[in-house]
Amino acid sequence: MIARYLLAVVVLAALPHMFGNDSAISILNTMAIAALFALSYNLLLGEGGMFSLGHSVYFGLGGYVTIHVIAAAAQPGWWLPVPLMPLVGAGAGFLFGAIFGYVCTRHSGLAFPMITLGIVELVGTAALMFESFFGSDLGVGGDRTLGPALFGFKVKTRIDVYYCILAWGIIAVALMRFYIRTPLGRLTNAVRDNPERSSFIGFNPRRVRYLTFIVAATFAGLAGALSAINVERMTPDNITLFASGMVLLMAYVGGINHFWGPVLGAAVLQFASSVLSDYTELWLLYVGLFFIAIVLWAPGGIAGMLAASWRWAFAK
Amino acid sequence: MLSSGLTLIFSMMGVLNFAHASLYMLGAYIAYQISVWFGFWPALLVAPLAIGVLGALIERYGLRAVHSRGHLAELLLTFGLAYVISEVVKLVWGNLNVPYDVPSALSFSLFELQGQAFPAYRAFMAVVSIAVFAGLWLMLKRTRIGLIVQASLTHPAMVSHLGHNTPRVFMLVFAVGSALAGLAGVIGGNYLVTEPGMAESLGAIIFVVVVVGGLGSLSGALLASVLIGIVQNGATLVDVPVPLTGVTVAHIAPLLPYILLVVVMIVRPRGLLGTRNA
Amino acid sequence: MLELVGVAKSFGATRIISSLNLSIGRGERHAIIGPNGAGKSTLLHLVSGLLKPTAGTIRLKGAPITGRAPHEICRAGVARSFQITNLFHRMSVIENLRCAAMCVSGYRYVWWRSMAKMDAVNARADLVLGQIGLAARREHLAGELAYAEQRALELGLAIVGDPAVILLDEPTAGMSRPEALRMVDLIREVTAPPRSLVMIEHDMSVVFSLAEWISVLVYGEIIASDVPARIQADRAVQQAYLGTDAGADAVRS
Repeated sequence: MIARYLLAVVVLAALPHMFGNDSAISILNTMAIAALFALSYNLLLGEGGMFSLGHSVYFGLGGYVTIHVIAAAAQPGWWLPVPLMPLVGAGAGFLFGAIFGYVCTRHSGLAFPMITLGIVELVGTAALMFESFFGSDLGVGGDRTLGPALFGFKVKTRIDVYYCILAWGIIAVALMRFYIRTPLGRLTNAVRDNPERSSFIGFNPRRVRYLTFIVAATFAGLAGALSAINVERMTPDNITLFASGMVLLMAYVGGINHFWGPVLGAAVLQFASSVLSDYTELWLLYVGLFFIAIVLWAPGGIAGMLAASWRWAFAK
Repeated sequence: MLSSGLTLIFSMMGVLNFAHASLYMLGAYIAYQISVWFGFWPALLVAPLAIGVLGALIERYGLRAVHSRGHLAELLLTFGLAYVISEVVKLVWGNLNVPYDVPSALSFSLFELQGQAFPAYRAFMAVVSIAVFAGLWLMLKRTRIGLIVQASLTHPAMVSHLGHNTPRVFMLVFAVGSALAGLAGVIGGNYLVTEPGMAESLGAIIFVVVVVGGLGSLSGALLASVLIGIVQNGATLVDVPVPLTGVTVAHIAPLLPYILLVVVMIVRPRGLLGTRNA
Repeated sequence: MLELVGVAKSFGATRIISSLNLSIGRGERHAIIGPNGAGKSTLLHLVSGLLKPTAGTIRLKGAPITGRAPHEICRAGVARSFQITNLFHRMSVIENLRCAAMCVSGYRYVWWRSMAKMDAVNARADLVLGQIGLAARREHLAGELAYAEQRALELGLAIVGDPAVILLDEPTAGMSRPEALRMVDLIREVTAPPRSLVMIEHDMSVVFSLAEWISVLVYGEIIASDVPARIQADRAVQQAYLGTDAGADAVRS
């Protein structure tokens, strides 16, 4: 078991060297960040049955706080190295998840997506107003090469960013997989399946949802921080319904019933938006149609289809 | 005040539909197209019908197929539809706004209010909204069909056991709701701007209205839409600075509906007049 | 152990339960019977917290639990099963039991330990798994079980938290005779004293083989509360069931 994971890590570590050009690594970086974001979202949707439309708030705010911290690293005597800054993003995600999550998880069912929608519109609209923190349309920028090094490691080139993302990704994924195995993680599933029954075995479903929300927001903030490091800029576009919709598409198309499903979905959607968009302006239309097809005919997503064909192939 | 009339029409449906605002947008665009070919008045008639038919098709081939899988699948389907409709609109009519204008027959000023002209078209919109609302209310509360519809929304199995064709009732309800959204688009699209982003900007407010008013309550939605209209329009007149932020109340006026949502959710989670607990 | 004093419940103008008094002792096996619509399930809902009484008090071990949230009442020591099977259908049988078993170990919303390491919880879940006879279906999803197995799991979820009071809502509903007999043996085994059992049942043979005390609920009122033998002979009870002497046969069967 451990051997399989070690092998995966080795392969992932070697990956950027297999591609010659920089743009491939750039795509890998955004794909990895999107995958992390989608995994955090699936803690809500797949594990918790909570259809949030406002998850981009925590990604965005985590990223914004981080970009300000990165910009602050330009000052002399700054002590926090850039590679450790994702902690800041995670902290921001945690904080805002706790604040907004309290409001959002007062309801379940049909009202929940609407309230999360209200929150993302609130924060997204505020982002366009308060230029001192959010910058205007162009957002806020920073230079990740400044500041102290972490044991001699500084995030300079795209490959550096890749390894930074990989390290934090491994930590985040390990933590998420652990979370699912804890009692709270199991309760998250229980509340998804049968919230009424959960209260009759002694647990408050609303409390479980609130805690799940905070955990998901924390990881989203982490992903946002990595994005701030990668792109060296955060704009109000990161806190929109569109961005939330994207992560929903990623998670659902990939498959919400499997842990790695959202990773597949993130890969597919990143591919569509970076590569497909070079060939046609209608890539979003195709993605939308694909999404509808999945909803209608393959609700397990790509991961579900793969799992089914695996079973079919080996049952014969 | 303006958006109140429009949002009221949306909140009448018991089924939640993320594509509702997109159907509104599509109604505006189709009305534009028809008015280019034939004029505004034919558009007023045909566009809502077209959207109603589309709504029926969506229910028949989309929602019905996923109904057994629960609410999440339905919500996701309408969410995907919103994307697709948005892209199709951009494909057919382009990315910029189209010149869908108020018909010349109605573009005069009715009277003066506080030094600002009150356009006749707004009166027209108000009249249409009230007529639609009244008509729907009468139909739902007074006729037999209305009774069946109301019953089917809450107890579909029982109603079908009584011999009514429940799937057809759902399709009818959805079609009517879609047609209403389309109608709102027809009369609203030329007064406001008709452009690909209109669905998104309106959609969020609609949901705030529905949640603040309370799910399942028609009068709650009415109250909420009026309240939000007042708050939004009233706030733009208030030039008082907000403490700690260095901006004025007028500046943050667009935020107020959402802040209201947050406050209501904390203080009264069921909404102002909510009946159903989601 | 469990006391209901002057409990009433109305939905708007409709009175479901009117001024009910009931007392369940420690280790007592109490059945509640009555015609359909009498308010039996409503009574369980009131005790377990799904509904709030419009009047009256409910006390557990002397402390009031009236109107508290279901999860608090569960933690206080009242567990229940449901008439319509209400499981976590996408989780395995053992997972269902483990989640319910956390109550007894006092665990709340623990996120820092893996469940596999929580020995007390796992041991308890496995114990009950054996008791309800589903050891062979340990890893199967709850939604995939046969009906009688699901009812057994329902029972399991109610008892795994080691509650002081168990409320069972028609545990043998929809079962064939052999299945019902097995269920009765199971119930007798797992609800041994000092646990108190309150059971709603329509099947008289089940009632008479399990109950030490029977209360008869008709139109929201208890018309009789006594040992089984005297209930059988009670005229008012017979009348309530069928209105005539034919009711005597119904009560006796």
